[in-house]
Order: sequence, then structure tokens, then C-alpha cells
Amino acid sequence: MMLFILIPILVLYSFVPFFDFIIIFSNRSFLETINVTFLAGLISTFFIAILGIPLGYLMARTDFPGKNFVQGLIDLPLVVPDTVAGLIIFLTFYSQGILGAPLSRAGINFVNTLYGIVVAMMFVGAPFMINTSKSGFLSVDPKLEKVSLSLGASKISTFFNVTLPLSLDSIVNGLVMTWAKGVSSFGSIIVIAYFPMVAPTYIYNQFLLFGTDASAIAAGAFLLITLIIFAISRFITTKMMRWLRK
Amino acid sequence: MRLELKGVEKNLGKFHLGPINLDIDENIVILGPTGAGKTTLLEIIAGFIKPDKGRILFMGKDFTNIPPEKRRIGLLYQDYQLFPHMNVRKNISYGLRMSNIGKENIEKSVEEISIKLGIMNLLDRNVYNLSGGEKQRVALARALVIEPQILLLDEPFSALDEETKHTLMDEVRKIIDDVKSLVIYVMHDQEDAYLMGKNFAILFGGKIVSVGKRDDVFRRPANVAIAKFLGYKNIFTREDLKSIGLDLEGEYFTIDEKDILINENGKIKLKGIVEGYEYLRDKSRITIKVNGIKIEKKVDGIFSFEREIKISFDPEKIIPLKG
Repeated sequence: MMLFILIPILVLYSFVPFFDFIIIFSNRSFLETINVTFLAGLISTFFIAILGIPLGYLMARTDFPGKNFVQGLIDLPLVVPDTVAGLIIFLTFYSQGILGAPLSRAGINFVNTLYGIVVAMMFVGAPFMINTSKSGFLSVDPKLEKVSLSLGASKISTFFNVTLPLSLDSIVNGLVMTWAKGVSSFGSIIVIAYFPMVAPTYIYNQFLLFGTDASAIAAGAFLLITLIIFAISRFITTKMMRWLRK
Repeated sequence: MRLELKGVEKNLGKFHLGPINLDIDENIVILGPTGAGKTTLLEIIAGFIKPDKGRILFMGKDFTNIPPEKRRIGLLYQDYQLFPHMNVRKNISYGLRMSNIGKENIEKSVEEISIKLGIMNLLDRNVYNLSGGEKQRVALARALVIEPQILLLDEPFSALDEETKHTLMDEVRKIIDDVKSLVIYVMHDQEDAYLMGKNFAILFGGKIVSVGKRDDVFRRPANVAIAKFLGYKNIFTREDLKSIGLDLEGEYFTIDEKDILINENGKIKLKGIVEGYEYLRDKSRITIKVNGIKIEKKVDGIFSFEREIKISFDPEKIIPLKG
């Protein structure tokens, strides 16, 4: 399985001349693209975390009528093709859209802006955050929370002292996955915001304008940066979990 | 200390608990088989489940709508539920840290309870690698350090091996005798329960069917099902008793194995044949066939099959039962 993942990556790098690969890290348009991609990824992950973690908790700890329907709705962006997701976002947020129209009047436009990229990333990334945090909360025995309450901790205190630390592994995993899904999205973003260019759009654009070699250089560089960020976030998570368990 | 449950009821799908009426002013064991509603009742007392009907009074004050964190109820679960991300010291001090009593007081209280429970050497240990007995002591220390008004122990010995269980039962009894809290055990094993409590409430099918002192409750099972649950092996019909020369008013009857004598000292003297043999941990149980009915009796010695045996009992030891 590892080979199945590794071989295509190595094939990609075989198309990348070393010198051009180094040069691209000083290419202004590429760096701007990376900046936009990661910034939008961070903003969307932040908002998904604020809205998605409580929803994950609600899904893990409560029963309510229509819960299966809500779960279906949460999972929907996972099964909707990226371009369909893009169209949904576009029709909702363009200047005549149901949400886009009032926000447009307030000066917030989504078409070809960072806002558009953020909402598209949020739409496709939300299921990762909600579902992984839900799994994390489910893995915490409710009896631990009951013991905490019996010892005089309030519900909020119990959440922050018991539930959250014990599900932090899953939540951080969810944050990383959500961010990764956001920054790797193409179809959902391109419909609402071709510009400012995110990395996948930039790579596609390079392919259309200059062919395989140029797009392979950009793709290789993007892949490397993402890999480094992934490795660092995993390292921090592991350290954090060890520190918490001390 | 006095805890009163007045007409407490809870509907949980197909299961209905109650109405429960209990007046607890001494340590008590709530004994019942699996599915009787023991944990639901415990969680109602702890405040995790709100009853549909009825009231809970503690020292005369209405407890029904008080949230669990305000009840000062210590809770010890069967599987201890130690916080896995905290070491022993942090586990024990958790409740004290929630009440902001100051670092010095917290340390002092943790030390006192740890000395009392003999776990001073464990304070800086991770909870993962504690033995079952050590985990239980830590969980007990965590529950007791907040000086709870009520201490709830949910199947406290079920997860332990026999040897650790008996050592800990002794220790826990001594510790419990020393605390000021009202202690409520919830247990399903009637033998363990018998050793732990003096007062009993039997919970059966969501209802309290018997309350009282240990011997009263154990010696007077209300019906056949409760008798069987309490470990009575010999359940007779009126016809059964007639076949051994006894005609008593009632539908069903039982007799404690202890009251059947392997000699002729009892008023009713019978001859039978050893028909079955069951090896127990410390004893054996033989089945004696007498005039077509089977009588079971725990014995110390060895009895060979098909051997003729003389047994006797006093008719006043026969307990009438409802069906």
C-alpha cells in the first residue's frame, strides 16, 4: 500500500529538474499562491473548528429526533463531487445568492475573493472536523464525565478538564485533515474563485499554459511544503499528548 | 445522614424503574440481578438521570433538581474510571481543585487520604500501570477526599480477582466504617453483598421488593424469583412437601441449605439417595433424591453416588413463598 502511494510521488519528482525546483521557491506568484492557499486553509479550519467541534460533541453525546438526517447532511460534502460542491457554494454566495446577496450589500463579496475560497474550503472540510471530533468524544467513557461532575466540576469544567484532553488526539487529527482537505481542494474553489489563485488552481493553470514540466515543478514544491507542515503538526501533536498524559 | 426516595420513577424505553420508596439513614446495600435497574437508581441518586416522577430528599432538603456537581456525592465505579491523562496525585486532588481550597490545603488533604489508604507510594505514578487493587484504592481516595455526604459504590468488587477481592473487602469495610458519609453499595453478587452490608434493599424488575436488616432480608425472600436470586437452591411446591409428609398452607416453599442437617437431629427425618455432585470452590453440593423430590445441600465431606443418606430438618425452618 505504501508503494502504491510512494511510487506516483516519486514519478512526479522524476519530472522535476532540481534547479527549477529550487527557483520556484523564489517565484513571487507561486509564493503568493501558497500564501493564499494556506491562509484560506487556516481561516476555514478556524471557523470549522468553532462551529464543528460543538456539533461533533452534540452528535456524540445527545440523542434527538432527526439525528440520522443531520448525520447524513454532515456527510453530504464527502459524497458530492467537488465541482458540484463548487456550484452549490457559488449559487449560495454569489452576489444574487441567498447568503451572497445580503452579505454583498454589507460589502462582503465571495466571487473571486479570499472569502469565496474560505467558504468553499469550509464546505468540503467540515465533515472531517465534525466526524473526527465526534469519534474523539465517543471514545471518552461518559462515566469519566460523571465522575468529574460528582467531584464538583461543572459541565464546562468537565468538558475542558476531562472530555477535551482525552479527545484532543482526534480533534487535532480533525484539524489537520480539515486543513489538508481545504488546501487540496480544486473543483469546489475554482467555480467561485479562480482568483486569487490557490495552489491546485495554480498547478492546473501551469499545466494548461506550459504543460507537464511546469505544473510538475509547482506540484512537487506544493507537495513538499504540505508534507513538511504535516510532519511538524504530527510531531507537535505527539509531544502535546505526551505532555498532557504526564 | 438521611436520604429519602419518595415515589421515584423513571421510564427508559421498555424498562420502568419504580415507584421507589426508600428511607436510608444507615449504610445500605442495594442488591439486585443484572437489569434490575440498580445503575439507573444510582444515577438518579447521583443526579445524572432526572426521575420522571417522585422526589429525592437529603437531610430533609429537596435534592431532585440539584445538579450532580452540587450534591457532594462520591462515586466509585466498578471499573474505577480513573482519569487516564492524570497521574494518581492529580486524580485524587481533582475534586479539591474544583473547589478552590488553596494549594496547601489540597496537598494536605491528598496526603492524609493517601496515608489512610496506604497509597502514598503511588502518588506520582501513572494510572495505566496500577494493579486492580491499587486502582480501587486511588478511586476510593478520590471519592473520599472531597468528604462526600453520600458515597455511592457501584459493584465495587466485581472487577477484582478472588484473592484481591477478599483483602479489599476487608479494607474497604474498615475505611467505610470510619467515614461520615452515608454509604450506598450497589451490588449483584449476593455472597459479596452479604459480607459487605448490614442493611439491604432488594431491587427486582425495577422495584424494591424487600428492605431491612441483612438476616431479615436474606431469611425471608418474598417470592420464588427472589429466593432463587438470593441463592436458595431448594424450591418446593405444596405437593413436594406432601410427598415427604408435610402439609403446609401455601403455594411454594423453600429452606436454607444450612437448615438441612446430614444427621437425624431435626424433627423431620428423611432417607434419600445421593444423586448429584457439584464441586464448588471450597465445598461441594450434593443432590439428594427423597421420595421423588430433589434436595440440594452444601457439604464438606465426600459422598459417593447412589449412597443412602439420612437427613433431617425442622419444619419451622420452611419459608413460604409467593409464586
